[in-house]
Amino acid sequence: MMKPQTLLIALALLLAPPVWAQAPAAAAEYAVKSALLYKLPRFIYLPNLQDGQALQLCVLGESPFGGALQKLAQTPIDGRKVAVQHPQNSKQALDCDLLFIARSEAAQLKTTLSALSQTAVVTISDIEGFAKAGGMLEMALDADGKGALSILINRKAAQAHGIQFNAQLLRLAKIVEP
Amino acid sequence: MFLDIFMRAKHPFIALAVTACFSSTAVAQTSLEEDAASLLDLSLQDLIATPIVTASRQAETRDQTPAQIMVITRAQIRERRYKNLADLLADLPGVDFQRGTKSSQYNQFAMQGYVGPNKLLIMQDGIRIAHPGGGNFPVAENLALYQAKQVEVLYGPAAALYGADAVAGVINIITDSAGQGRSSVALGAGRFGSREASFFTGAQITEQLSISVGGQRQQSDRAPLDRYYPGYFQPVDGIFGGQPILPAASREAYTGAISSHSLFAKIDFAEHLTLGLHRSHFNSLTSTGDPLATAQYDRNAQWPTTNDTIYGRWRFKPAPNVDAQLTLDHGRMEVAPKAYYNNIYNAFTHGHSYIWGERSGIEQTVNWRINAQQQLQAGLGWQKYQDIEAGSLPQPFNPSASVTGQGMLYPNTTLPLLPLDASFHNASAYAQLQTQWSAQLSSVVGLRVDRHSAYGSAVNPRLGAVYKPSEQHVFKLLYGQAFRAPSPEESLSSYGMFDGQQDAQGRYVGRNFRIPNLDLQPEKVRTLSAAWDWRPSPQINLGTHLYHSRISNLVVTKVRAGNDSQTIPGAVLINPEIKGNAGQQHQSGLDLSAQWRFRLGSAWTGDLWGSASLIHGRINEGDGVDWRIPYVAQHKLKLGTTLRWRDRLSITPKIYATGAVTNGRKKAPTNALLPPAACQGNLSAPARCSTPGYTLVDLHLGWHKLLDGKATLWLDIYNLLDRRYYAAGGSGSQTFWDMPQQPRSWMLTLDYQF
Repeated sequence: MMKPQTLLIALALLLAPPVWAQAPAAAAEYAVKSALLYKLPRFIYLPNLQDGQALQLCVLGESPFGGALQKLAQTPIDGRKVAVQHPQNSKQALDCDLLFIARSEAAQLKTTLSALSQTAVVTISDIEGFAKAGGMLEMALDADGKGALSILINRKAAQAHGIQFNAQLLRLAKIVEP
Repeated sequence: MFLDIFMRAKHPFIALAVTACFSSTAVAQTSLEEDAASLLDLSLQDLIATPIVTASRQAETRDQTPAQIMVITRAQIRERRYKNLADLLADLPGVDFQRGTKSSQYNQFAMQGYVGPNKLLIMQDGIRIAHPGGGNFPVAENLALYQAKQVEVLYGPAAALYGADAVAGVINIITDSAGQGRSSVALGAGRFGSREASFFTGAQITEQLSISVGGQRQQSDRAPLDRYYPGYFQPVDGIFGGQPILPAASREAYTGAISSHSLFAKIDFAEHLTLGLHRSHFNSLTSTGDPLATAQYDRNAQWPTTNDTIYGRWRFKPAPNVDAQLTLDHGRMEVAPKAYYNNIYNAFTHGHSYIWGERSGIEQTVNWRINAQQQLQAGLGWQKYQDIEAGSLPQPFNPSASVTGQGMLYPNTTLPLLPLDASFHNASAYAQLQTQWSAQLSSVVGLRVDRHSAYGSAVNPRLGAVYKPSEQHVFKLLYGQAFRAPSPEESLSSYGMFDGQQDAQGRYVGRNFRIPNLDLQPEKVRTLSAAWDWRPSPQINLGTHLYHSRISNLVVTKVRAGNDSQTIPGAVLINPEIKGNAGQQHQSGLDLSAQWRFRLGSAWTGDLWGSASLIHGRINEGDGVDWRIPYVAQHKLKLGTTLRWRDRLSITPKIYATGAVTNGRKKAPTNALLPPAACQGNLSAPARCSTPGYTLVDLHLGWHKLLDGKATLWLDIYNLLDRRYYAAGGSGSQTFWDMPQQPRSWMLTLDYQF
């Protein structure tokens, strides 16, 4: 076995902080959210989606997903191709099937939701209070600080457009009354 | 934009900082893509439950730990039909598994050349659920996985973090949390009287309180091996003291029934307090691994092992960057007093055994996020152990009386028989520093100091580094040390029976005795390993793991030449067996593993996984000769695939091919009463008798979405081709050299999830 003194010296040397090292980005949060976003279409009935038509998966605002969605989109969802779009505004988002509204859009959330209120777009966001504000599906971090996600669903907002959530998803989600 | 900022920076340090910042971001984005792709494999439920790794969390990703680590998800556990830890272990790279060969632990296995469950730390939710004193115990159907969200397998010594006995690796079964609301019931029946049932449910009672409970019960008569391997079960006399106690003409049929049950409960109060319990029980026959010449096959001669663990864990945050948890646990294991052997060591009468062990522990750990680059984990712990070991008792042990108050004599003598007990404690302190030197390079430095009341102090370091030059490649290097304190099972182990013969001095003469050794010393282990993960595409993951390990002070069973008149006053024991530190072992190996996710048309998806393992190892058991390590095949291949048709059908064939395995014997059976063995001719080191290799195919079929979409019907067929094959038997002089294994068997299970 190694001598304790040798080990303590090695430990002390390595305890010295590496001042030149850069902070690794906290990437995994949006890795999980992007995977979750990509899985969601399997659990949602979209009334306007036609056979053979690619699924329009959109991100409005500053995308926190990097290239993750594009990478995931290389794998079709149940045989259906996926097109990742980045509409510049809510008007351009009307053709989306699923729309993730980034946190950068928090300030104009009401306006955005209002603009989308006449079309069957599944609205998704991780903006706090999104489901209560009229969004359909919110990815919320649990308040316990342990990093697990909760899905909050506003069923009324979805039902108004004929959008149905699969029972499995509903079982895992918390239903929010606006 | 980057170039613009870089060029405008007035100070070179600012320019460098900007460069580093942007390069770090670029790496993070690629990492995000890779992480997202890898997470797609998870079910929606698992995905939601996946802890999010942020700068302030202590959760570690696979790419951050310097050790080779495998994570088996719930979907994989279900589809590959890992019903218990034995099934899962048998399918892992670098693991040799010998089923039904040992009377006291039932299965034997080796992980990268480390033989026995006592080299592996097995936990559930981070709490030890194995033998409380660190001894061997059954790793079989009792360690069911119905409650598992995932199983994490860490290869190599992890003593610096988990305790000095984490020698070959650490297995952690992560259970489902109640908040997920998953409930399930499974009922199964199959060939050879096999029955099994399990349930799991979780409930969120209030916003702050959730409970999850589950249980499992299983039993099987297993195959009547004498019908399938008649040459190995020819009726022969059972002889003791030269007398045929059991005449061949009246010998019984083979029986090898097993049964098990387990129970699990967990209560979470908010996110701060968890209380849990785990019970596992396994019952096999004490004739397991023994031929007719050695044992009487008796359905009542059982070895019922029960492990109970209760624990409480309190999590708190003493400072913004510090997470702490205080854990108290209490483990207890008992082989019930009704256990008895009916074999040649007990004159084919009931030789009762009793084993009892307890462990109580407290551990305070902290995880301090020093800054964005460094994280320190540290802990202080204290554990107390107590143990009783008793064998060859003429009557069942009385747990309500003291060890010295049992009032028993060695049969056929006037000598008092005193079971042995032991009590000791261990204090420990550890620290592990993880440093992210750059976006590509991180290191881990850990140190653990243990102070054992019986074995003194030990210092065990763990040093590792991870280099990730791109998202396609991860290189890991790890050096670790461990020491394994001998368990009371080894130091106190004793059994044997007198036939009443006395020498000229009036001393009783004993043969074939095992005597205790209270002077055993800890085994010391050093391992250096290197791993390379290569991900040429998001669908393919290739792993290479190279390791070299050395064990000194290896505890081995040996014969003490000559007579012993010290162990039992008034008796002389001829050439007794004893456990000693005579051995040394070294092994070098390579595990190659691969996983490939694929799609066939629009309806079929699949996973292909496999591993190829090579190992070169030698063991010196105190005779100065380097032998091949027993129970370890020099090469083995494991392949499996899961094919899914939409979400309705899954087909999972698995192929297991292993080379010959040394069973530890140096020559073929010389006693004509013993069954045949593959071992032939004269052998010279390093060769010893080998049990032939074999290729085995299992098939698992699943029909999903039945009964309103909530049920799955599973058909599991083991040994599909109905091969006759053998596991390497126990190394005792009277056990099978080559233990016949089960013929084709099947099980039909209805799994209802709600």
